Amino acid sequence: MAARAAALVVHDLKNELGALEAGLRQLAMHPEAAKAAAAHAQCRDLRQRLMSFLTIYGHDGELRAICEDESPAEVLQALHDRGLERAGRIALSLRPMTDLPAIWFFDRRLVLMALEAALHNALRFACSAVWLGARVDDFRRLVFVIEDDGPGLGSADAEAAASTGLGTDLCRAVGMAHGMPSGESAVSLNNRPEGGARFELRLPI
Amino acid sequence: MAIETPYSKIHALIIDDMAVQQTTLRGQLAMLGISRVDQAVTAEDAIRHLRSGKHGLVLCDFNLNHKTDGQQLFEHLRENELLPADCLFFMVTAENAYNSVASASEHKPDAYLLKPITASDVEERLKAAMERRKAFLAVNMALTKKDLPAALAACETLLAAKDRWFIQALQQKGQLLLQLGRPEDAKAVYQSALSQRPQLIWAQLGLARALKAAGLFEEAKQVATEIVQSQDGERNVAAYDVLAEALEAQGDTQAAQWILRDAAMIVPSAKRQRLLADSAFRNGDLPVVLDALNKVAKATKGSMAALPQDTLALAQALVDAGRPAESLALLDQPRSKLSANTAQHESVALAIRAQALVRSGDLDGALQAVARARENLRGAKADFATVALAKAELVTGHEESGLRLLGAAVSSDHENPRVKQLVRNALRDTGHEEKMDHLVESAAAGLQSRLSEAKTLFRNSQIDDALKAIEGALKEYPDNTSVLLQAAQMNCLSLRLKKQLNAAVVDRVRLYLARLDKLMPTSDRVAHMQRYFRETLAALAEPATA
Repeated sequence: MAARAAALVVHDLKNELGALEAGLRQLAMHPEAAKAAAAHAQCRDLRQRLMSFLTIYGHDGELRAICEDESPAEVLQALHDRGLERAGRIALSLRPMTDLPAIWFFDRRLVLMALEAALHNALRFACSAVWLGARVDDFRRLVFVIEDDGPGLGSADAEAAASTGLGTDLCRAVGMAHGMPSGESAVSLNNRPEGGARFELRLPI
Repeated sequence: MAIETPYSKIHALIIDDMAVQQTTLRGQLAMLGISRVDQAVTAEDAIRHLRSGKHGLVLCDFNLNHKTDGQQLFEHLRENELLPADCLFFMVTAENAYNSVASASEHKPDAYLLKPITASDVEERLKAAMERRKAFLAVNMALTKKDLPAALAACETLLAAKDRWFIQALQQKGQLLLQLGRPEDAKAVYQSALSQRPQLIWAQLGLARALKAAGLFEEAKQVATEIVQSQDGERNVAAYDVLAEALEAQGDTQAAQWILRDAAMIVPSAKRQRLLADSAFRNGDLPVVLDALNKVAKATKGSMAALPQDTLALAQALVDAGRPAESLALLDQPRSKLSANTAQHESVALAIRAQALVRSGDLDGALQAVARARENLRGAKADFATVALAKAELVTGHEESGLRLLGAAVSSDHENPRVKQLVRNALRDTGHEEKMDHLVESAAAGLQSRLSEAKTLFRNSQIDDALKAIEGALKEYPDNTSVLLQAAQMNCLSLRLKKQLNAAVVDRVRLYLARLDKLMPTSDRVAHMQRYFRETLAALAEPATA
């Protein structure tokens, strides 16, 4: 990987580690359950970022997906359950899943890792709600969808500008590992007509 | 205070040699309400714990120690039925090892957990595994009772639901059909799975096995080759096994050995080295045998994976390779308490010792050893022990006894090419190679006369006498697959002719088929006989129609 990208990632992680260190120091002096939970959540996020980093760059050759028969509904439910603690005041909900296929073939671990990164972003920018859903598109691809009611793309957000784009890189790598043709994008991030952003991860059959 | 959760009743076992990781995992389990947790540091420790049969969940680190990895332990537990039927097995692996671990193993644990593990990771996998268990309850209950037709029927019910478990039910159905000796039906199941997703490795492997079981060796080889040449299947050692078995069935034992060598390079486990050594031993390729068995000895020294047979095979190979002093030194080594020796084992060791002593010039010592070996090795079979004793007899000048033993070994299964290979090597090593054809012919002739006597009686409608004759032949050659097949067929025919479901005869056929399945697993001839038996039962169970 490019040295510049590595430096950006390290810089990003270093800042968050500094914030966590400060939080833990404060906790050591004044123990408080809510702050301890927040420190734990921050620590978990950092770990997940490091795992994403390792998943994209920490192996020889290209990323490989070990696909098994999985239930898209169960994966969305797991994503929802994992996100609840982090959601805080944001209402995290599942779209109706009645039309979903019972089985799709994908690497559950990689897909959940990618979706968690996308959910992390959605929760950062949402005003009050994030929705999780999935559908099969006209090209017989399974599409996982994460929507938020935040300011959407193109807003002058300093935090967004400072982001290293690790989450998007991860999602792209996961899509490619599942055999998405190189000409087609496995990932898209667009504004919703009703406001907010819509993230989509596409997986071929 | 313990938390009450859906998992509180589970008794767990953590297998990990790192104290820190054990403490972390114990903490994660406590967060899920699992407070009854045992800890094991080694594979032997783990086996001791699991013998209690009380565990419902095992968390096992893949990197146990340099001798045994988690996958080897898992396979050992499964093969020796040490894992309770309702116990979940989760393998804990490092991120960088996951791909190679998951793609090389055919026998998969209930879940892989990647480090660092959190309580929610364990809970998610636990929930999914318990849901799967609930869905497959009827199938597993039938399998516990070894009632394969009932398991198949339960699979059909699952398939009809067309839900989340459809693909796994299809996989189970394919396996059951193969076990039931219905390769054609299994083939159709695997093909239907592949029509949904061509890259499914388990379906490709199942198809290769079905083709092999149906005697279509060329096609089986082609499918197995495609698996090992694909990116997802290049480390699939089970596909290498199918390829080697198909090659062996076609008589190309040398190529089969090369394939097994490739598989042993991919997964250099004691089990794979043993398979390679076994194949090379039959081919008389002693350098490969010695190399593989030395690797086995090194890998299993002082571990639960060590087998008494490993030492014997290595000692025999050293004698055959003209290194009797090393063979004797090996046989003199004190045995570990893990490899409990039986009288049979001691006698084989004596037979090999006798061969080594002759080669070292100590004929008196050899004569004493062979005399003691003879005491416990009665009832010649087509096995390593009989051949070892026969060789000891031949090299100590007891030509008649040696040839008689080898003749008995051939007769016990005169059409089995593996037996013939072993006997041929024994004759060559002892300077009697020219006797092979005569030995096989006379063994087959004696047997053929018994078989034709039974067949003649049957043709003359003396059915009960024919059955008596074939049972007599079976008493003399209990492991002879030709006699067993003939006995199964005659008993089936007698059922059809008498148009009556005689319970004793049905049980007898089942016994023969079970013995055949053990002697020649996945053989097409056995499969055909199983089908014929089922058809016989079905025909007699149906009410007579006008």
